Amino acid sequence: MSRRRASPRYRSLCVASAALALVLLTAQAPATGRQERIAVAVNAAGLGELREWDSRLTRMERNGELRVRQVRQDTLIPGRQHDRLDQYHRGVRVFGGDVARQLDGGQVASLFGTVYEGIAVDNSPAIDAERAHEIVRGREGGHTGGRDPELVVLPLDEGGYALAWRLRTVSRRGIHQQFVDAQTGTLLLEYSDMKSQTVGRGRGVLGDSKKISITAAGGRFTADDGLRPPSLRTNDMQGDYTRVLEYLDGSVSLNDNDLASDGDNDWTDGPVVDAHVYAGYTYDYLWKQFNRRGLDDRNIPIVSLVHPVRRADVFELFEDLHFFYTNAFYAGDGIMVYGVGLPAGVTLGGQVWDFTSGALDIVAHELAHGVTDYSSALIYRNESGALNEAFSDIMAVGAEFFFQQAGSGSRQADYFIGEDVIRPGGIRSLATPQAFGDPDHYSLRFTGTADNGGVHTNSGIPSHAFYLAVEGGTNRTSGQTVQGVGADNRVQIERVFYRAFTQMLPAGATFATARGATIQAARDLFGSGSPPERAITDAWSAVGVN
Amino acid sequence: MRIPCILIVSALTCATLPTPTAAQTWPERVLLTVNGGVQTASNRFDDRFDFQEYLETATTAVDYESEGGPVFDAGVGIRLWRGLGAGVAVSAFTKENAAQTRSSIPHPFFDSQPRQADGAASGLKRTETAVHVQAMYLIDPAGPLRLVLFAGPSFFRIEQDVVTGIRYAESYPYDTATFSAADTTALDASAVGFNAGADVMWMVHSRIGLGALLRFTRASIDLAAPGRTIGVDAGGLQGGGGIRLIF
Repeated sequence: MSRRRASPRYRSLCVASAALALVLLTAQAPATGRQERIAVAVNAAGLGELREWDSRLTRMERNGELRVRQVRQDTLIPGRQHDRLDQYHRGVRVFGGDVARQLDGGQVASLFGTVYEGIAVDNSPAIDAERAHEIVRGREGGHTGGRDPELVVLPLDEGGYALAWRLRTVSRRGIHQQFVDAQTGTLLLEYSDMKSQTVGRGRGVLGDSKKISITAAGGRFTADDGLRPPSLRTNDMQGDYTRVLEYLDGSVSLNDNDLASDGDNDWTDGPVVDAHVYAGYTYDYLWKQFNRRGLDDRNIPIVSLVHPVRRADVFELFEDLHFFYTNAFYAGDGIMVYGVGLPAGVTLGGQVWDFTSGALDIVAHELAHGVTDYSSALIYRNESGALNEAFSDIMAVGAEFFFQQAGSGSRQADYFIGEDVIRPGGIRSLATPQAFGDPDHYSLRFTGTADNGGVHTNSGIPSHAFYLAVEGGTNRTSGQTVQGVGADNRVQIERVFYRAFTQMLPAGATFATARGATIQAARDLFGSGSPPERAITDAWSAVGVN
Repeated sequence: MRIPCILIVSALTCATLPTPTAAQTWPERVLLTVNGGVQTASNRFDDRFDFQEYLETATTAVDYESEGGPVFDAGVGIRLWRGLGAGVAVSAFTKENAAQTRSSIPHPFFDSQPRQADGAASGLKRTETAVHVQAMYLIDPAGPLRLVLFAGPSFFRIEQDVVTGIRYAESYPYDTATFSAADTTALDASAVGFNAGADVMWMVHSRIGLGALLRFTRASIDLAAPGRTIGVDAGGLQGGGGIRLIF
C-alpha cells in the first residue's frame, strides 16, 4: 500500500475568529444584556490570532493551497463579502478543508474554517476514475451517476490521510457519499447523503392539500422545519393539558417526543399541518414584506402547541380551559397555542368553531403579537392594548392577501378575522367593525374595564382606519369619505403600519400617538403629501382620531 | 432501412458513368489513403427530462450545441474489375461542445410556483467513429490526376456526454434557484448511415500522391438515456487532405 500516513494536525479557527466577529457585532449594535455577555469573551489574543491566521491563509492562497470556491455579497449588511476557500494539496482538494472568510471593505472581519496540516500523500492514483465506478457498482449495484468521481485527499478518522475517489451513489439503500482508496480500491469511508430536511404533503383543517416543511430521521417525519432560518417546531400535545400548562409555566420542557410526527410523510392531522405550515407562511410574510427575521427580528424559535386538549372533553374542561378550545394565543417567547374548537354539533354564539390553526389569519394574528412583544411592547390594556390587537389584525389581513386570492370564500383573502374556522363570519371585520358590535369611530369606543379596557373591541377603530386607507370608502359614523391607495397598493399601508407599530410607537401609545406615528411613517417611506400619507391622515380623521 | 437506398444510389451512380476501357483503366489494384481534415457539423440536438423535487415534477430542457472539428480518416480500396472497386475507410471525429440547460424547479413551500434555473454545461465530449464501406468508381487517369467516386453504407459508433441532472443552489426564501452544475454521463450507441464523396489525387511519384477527400456521411442514432432516448445525428461534411499510396 503506497498510501503514506501522517497524523493530521488541524487547527480550528473558530475561537479567535468568533471573538473578532463578536467584537464587530457589539460595536455596531446597541448595547443589550446579551451583547454585553458576549463582549466578555473578547480578548486581545483573539485579535492577534486572527491576524496571524489571515497572514497564513493569504500565503496559502498565493501558493495555491487555498482556492476561492465562492464569492457572495452580504445580503444584509452592505459592503460585506463572504468568500469560501477550499484547501488543496498539490492540486488535489482536501476534503473538508475549507475556510469561510468575511470581508468588510476588503479587510478580513472574520475567519472560520479547518485547515489540515502534515499532509504527505502521493497524489498519483493507482486506479482510475472508471475503476472506482466499477468498484462501487460491483459492491452494491448502485447507480454511481454520471458525475465524474472527484480525486480528493481524505483525512481519515483514525489518523493520517489517503488519496481517494469520492463518488455519490444512489441505490436502494439510499444516497451515499463513498470514498474509494485511489491506491488500493478499498472503501475508506461511506456516509448517507440523504438530506434530512425535506418536504411532505399534508391536508389542512379545511381539507386543502399543501406542502409542509419537515425533518426526516430514522424513518420518522417530524414537524420540525429545517428549511427556514429559525427553528419552527410544532408539537402534538395529544390532549395532555396538564403538560401544556406545566410547559407554559416553565415547569417542564418539551422534547423530540412531543414533536408532531407522521409515519409516511403524508400528513393527515389537519391542525398540525396548518399550525406548522401557517407559522412558516407568517415567517415568510414578515421576511418578504418587511425584511423582518421572525418575531424578534433575530429568528427566535417558534414553538407551536396543537391539541392542548381533546375536543371530546369539552363538557368537562371548557369552563376552566375554554382558552384551549375557542382561542388561539401567543404565550410569549415564541410559543403559540392553538385551540381545538368545538365538537361537531356544538356551537358557540351560533357559530361552528373548528381547529383554530386552520385559519391563516388567526395564526398570523397571534404571531404578530410576538412581533409586538419584541418591538413596541404595547401594553395590553386600554388604547395601547387595542392598538396591539389592531396591529395583529392588520398583519393577519396582510398575510392573507399575500398568500391567498382575494375573495369571500374559504381560504380566500378578505378583511374578516377567523372566518375560515369560526363559521359563519369569523369574529371581527376591519371593513365593518360594527357588524360584530365593535366601534368604527372613536366616539363609540368602549370605556369600560372588561376585556382589559376593550382591547378586542376598540381595536376596530385603528384597524378600520387601516382598511379605509387601503380600500377607501365612507365611515358610517362620521360620514367622512377617504380615498384609499387601492388594493393594488395595500402593501404601502401595510409597511406604514408595520414601521409605525414596530419602530415608532411607545409601549403606552394611544390612538392619537398611532395617528402621528403612521403619518410620520408614511412620510418617511413615501414622502410628504404622498397618496399613502394623505390616505392615512384622512382615514384616522374619518374614524375620529385626530 | 437506409442501406438499400444507399446501395441503389451507388449503383445508379455507377451506371451513369462512362464505361471504362481497358487502356484507360487504372493499372494499380490497391489504393491506400490517409487524411487529416475537418468535419463540419450542424448536429444540434435537444433533450428533456423530468425528476421529482419537492413533491412535484421538475423539468430540464437541454439544447446541445454541435460544432465541427478535426477528423482523421484512413482507408483502403481495391480495384476489382476495370474501374470498379470496393473499399473501406475509417473516420474518427472528436469534439467538445457545450449545452444550454433550462430547468423548472418546484418551490419547497408552495405548489405550482416553480423557479427557473438556467445554465450551461461545457466540455461535453462527442466521439464519432465510422466505418465507411464504399463502392468505388475509379475515373480514368488524366496524367498525374486521378479521381475516385465512392458511396456506400457507414457504420457509426458515437459516444456523447449528455446531461443527466442538474445541481442548483437555493437559499431562503427559495423564490429563486441558481444553476450551479450539470451532472453528465457518457452514452454510446451504434447505427448505420451512409456516405458518398470523391477523392481526388495528384500523383507526385508512380506510387505516391497527394489527395483531397470530400465526403458526406450521415447517420441518425438514438442514445439510450435513463427513461428516454435522445435522437442524435452523426456525421456531416468531411473534407481533408493527405497521402495516397497505390500499388
